[in-house]
Amino acid sequence: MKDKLSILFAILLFLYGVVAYGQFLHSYEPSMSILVHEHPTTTRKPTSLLKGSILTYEIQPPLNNLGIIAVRFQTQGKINDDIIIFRIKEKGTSSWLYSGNYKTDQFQDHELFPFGFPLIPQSANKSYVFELESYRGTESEHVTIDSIRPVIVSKYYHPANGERPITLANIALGLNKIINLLSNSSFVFPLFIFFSPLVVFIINSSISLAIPLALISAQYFLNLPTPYHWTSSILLAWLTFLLTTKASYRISVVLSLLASFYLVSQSQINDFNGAREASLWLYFCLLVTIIQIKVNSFD
Amino acid sequence: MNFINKVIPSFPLLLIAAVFIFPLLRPGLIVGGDWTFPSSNKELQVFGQRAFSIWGRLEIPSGTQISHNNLYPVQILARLWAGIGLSGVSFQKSTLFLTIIGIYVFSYRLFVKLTKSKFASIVGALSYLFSPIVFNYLNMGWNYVLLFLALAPLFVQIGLDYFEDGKSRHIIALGLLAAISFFQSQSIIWLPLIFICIFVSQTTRENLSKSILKLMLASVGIGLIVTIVHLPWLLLIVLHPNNILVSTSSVDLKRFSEVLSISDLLRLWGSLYNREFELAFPLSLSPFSYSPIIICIIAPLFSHLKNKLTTYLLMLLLVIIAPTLFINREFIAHIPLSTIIRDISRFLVITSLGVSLGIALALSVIRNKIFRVVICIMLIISASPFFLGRLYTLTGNPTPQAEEYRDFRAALLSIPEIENEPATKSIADKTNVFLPTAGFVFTRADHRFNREYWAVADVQSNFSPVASGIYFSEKSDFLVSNFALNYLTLSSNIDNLTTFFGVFGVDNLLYRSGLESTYKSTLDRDGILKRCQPFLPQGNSDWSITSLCLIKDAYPLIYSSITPQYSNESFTKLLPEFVNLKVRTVVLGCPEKLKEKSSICNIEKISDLAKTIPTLSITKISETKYRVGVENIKGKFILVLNQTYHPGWIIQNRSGERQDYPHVLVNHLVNGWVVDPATNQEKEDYIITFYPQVIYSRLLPISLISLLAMVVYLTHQSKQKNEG
Repeated sequence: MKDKLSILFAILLFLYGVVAYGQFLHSYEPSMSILVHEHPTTTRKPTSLLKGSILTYEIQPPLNNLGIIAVRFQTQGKINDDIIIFRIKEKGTSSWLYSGNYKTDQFQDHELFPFGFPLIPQSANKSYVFELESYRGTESEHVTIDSIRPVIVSKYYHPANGERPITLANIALGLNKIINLLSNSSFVFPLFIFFSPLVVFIINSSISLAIPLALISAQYFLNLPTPYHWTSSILLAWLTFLLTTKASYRISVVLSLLASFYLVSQSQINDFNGAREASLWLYFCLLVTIIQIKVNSFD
Repeated sequence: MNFINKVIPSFPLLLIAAVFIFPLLRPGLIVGGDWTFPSSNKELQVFGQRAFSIWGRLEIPSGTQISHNNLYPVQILARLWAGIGLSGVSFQKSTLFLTIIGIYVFSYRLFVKLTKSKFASIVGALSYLFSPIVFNYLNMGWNYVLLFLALAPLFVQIGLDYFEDGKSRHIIALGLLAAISFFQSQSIIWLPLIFICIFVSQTTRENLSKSILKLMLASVGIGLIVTIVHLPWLLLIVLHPNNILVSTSSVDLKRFSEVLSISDLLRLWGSLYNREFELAFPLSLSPFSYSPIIICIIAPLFSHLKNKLTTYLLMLLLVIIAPTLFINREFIAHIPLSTIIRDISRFLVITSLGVSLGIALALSVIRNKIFRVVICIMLIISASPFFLGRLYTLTGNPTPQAEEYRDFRAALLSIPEIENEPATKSIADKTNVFLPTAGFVFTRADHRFNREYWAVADVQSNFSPVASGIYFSEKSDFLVSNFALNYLTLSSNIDNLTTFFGVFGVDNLLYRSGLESTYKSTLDRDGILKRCQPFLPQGNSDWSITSLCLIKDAYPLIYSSITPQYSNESFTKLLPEFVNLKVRTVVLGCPEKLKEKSSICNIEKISDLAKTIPTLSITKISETKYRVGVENIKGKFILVLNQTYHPGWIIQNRSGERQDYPHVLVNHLVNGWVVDPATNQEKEDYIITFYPQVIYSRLLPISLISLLAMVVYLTHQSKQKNEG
């Protein structure tokens, strides 16, 4: 009976990983015809875009049909009144292939903003330069280039080959897309995150605690983006650890208390986001306590 | 020691009397921020009588859609109270005081059962009563939520007994409580959630299958009882889904939740308009506002909780209800009919019970007296607005920006008993409307009440035996909304206004110069003073009627026409057609706004109408049944019932056979039938009936008898148990 339950639990954790990762991939770039490539950046600090400042980047697209360059911005959590001028040209040439103005009120905090332009059919293995210029950015109204990786992502249009049968074409396209996504480093990290509860369950030892801790450290120190389901995955890994090691529910009670003290301190300094985060932790600790008590009572 | 043991139990009652009851014993009706109750005996009668009618008479002079009679057991109680000559004020105060005592007593009994400690239960029950949610709902006048707070611990106690013993009497008691609690419609969600929490906490590996069976049996039983008790109106709502169910969207749920935060929910704070407690809380003491949630989770640190672990689990399950719904509000907002939830903060009624249970549990396991005292002091500070005298006293505007002003306090108000004035007695049998009307209404003179969302006057007109008003909100029927918007456009000229109301059968407009509508209506106050006759001096009350505008030749309740006009213009544009009220104009068709919402607007031109108008003689059988004798019939004619259109209005011949005449919308609001009599038929008697009322009247006695039988059965069982 217990083995059956364990298998069921493992299957559920596996399904969670598949669904969560599927949702992540879909939210990142849902179109099958668009392939992506992340470009490494050296900057570790956010760079402000103030009036007159021009940021220049150079990229080497690995594929043909370059049509979008997405850049990750910070908006300081508000709507900023500025216009960003985006322009792109092939390196070594004098004329710009495309130039466009973009109002910054459409930029989302810590999200990639796509700058689209007419497709460049023969873009593979050439060098391109693009610039971002602020039209009227001030100290109080400006956007910033984010430091969360990847900062620059290029996108390419690669539709299905019309000569093949349509089903084969779709399969090939899907495989091509998956290979393309997995070749980018930011797609690998979420894979670890979403399947970490399953790994913790399989290891079934106190050492497995290192997994969620390592993931949290990696996310913090390597400046990686926080994918959807990040909190729920870490919590699920933590819960799996508590249940598999038959830890006392009092651990969760103590953590709840710590979260509540953190909540009091954050609300005292009027940090709304901090208080929100603390109350979420408190809530999740209470939830975990409930699950622990109930599962223990059934053991 | 003996003395202390005797004093401690009576202390809470003294505290309740000092904080809640004594301040409200002074004369006057308790009015909250946006709701109140009948004041005089006659108002209470009107309120109580509503239990027997399904035709809603709340929104406009001639009534509107099928009312939600979820309050009917309370209304019957009110009717009985009024029947022995007592006033609305006495009814309101008695029920409110009993409710407050009930909140304490029922929670105390539950906590004693679960913690086996009287001291801990007293503190827990007091923390339940002296909670932000009680403070806020009392100030907003939402006494039904308070009543639910009193019944919730009783429901939990019976639920626990049920999972222990599994007796059928428990199911009946739970069903009865659920049926009565339906006075607050959200209880249809709240109680199942509480019941699931009880089920989860009481289920073990050993009793799993039995518990599931019990859960299923109880769910069916409770559902059945609630359905039997409320079938008369529920059935009609299902047959004729009305605007209250369909117009308010899921957006409402999100809108009300926008100002909430999970951190506030965890300290039992916050809701959109109910922030009285929060505003009255001293800023310097704000860390103590988190004391209840912290205290309620510490029990395991002091004890192994072996015997009380299920209680701890139940407490946690109740506590997380409001935060869980808040976190998932976007998802919940997409569930059909989620509008019934209205506002996530209302789920604090469950979280609040959980927190108080946790406090009682913590105190029952903590043996250190100093620590107990510290906890009590922290709890007193967390409820400081009660003890600083802020429950009914506003001490200045706590927020400097006028637009953020959200602080109301319950007050005692004297509303003149206008129904007893000789002048109003003379118009008692007429159709009268209070002005200003539409939307919420507040007083002009009293700055304390000079704020939006002050709806007392409006609500009061709902109870008045003298006149009605227009209660116009997002929940209004779309025909009523259209009517109210026309009123707002026409109110800048008293002559237009009287014409408008005259078309819909209003005989008198009663003007109260002390009141103002929150809708930006340009009411022609000068015109009213010139055109209408002075009524009573304003005196001390803003609610006094100061002018009476008589509308001559107002259209009757039932009339006929053979010369309809066909138009898609708005009523305001059509007004010149109606100026001479002696000529009863009938307009068929709808303006574009109405056309989008109703199929009844698609009317084709009626051919072969009679050349001469028939003669009518009307006999009122009841509020929803009229006999119409028609003579001198010379062909087809339009018979108009000057009450808001509803498909439930039907027309029958003298033998009681339903006549299949086309039911049309007349003058953008009321009912009309294109009567096509048989050839050579010169006269006929028709009966116009609101058919849902027939169904309601037949089903209501069955529900009442069932309700009564269950009460008798439970009383008998309880007597037997006590004797045993």
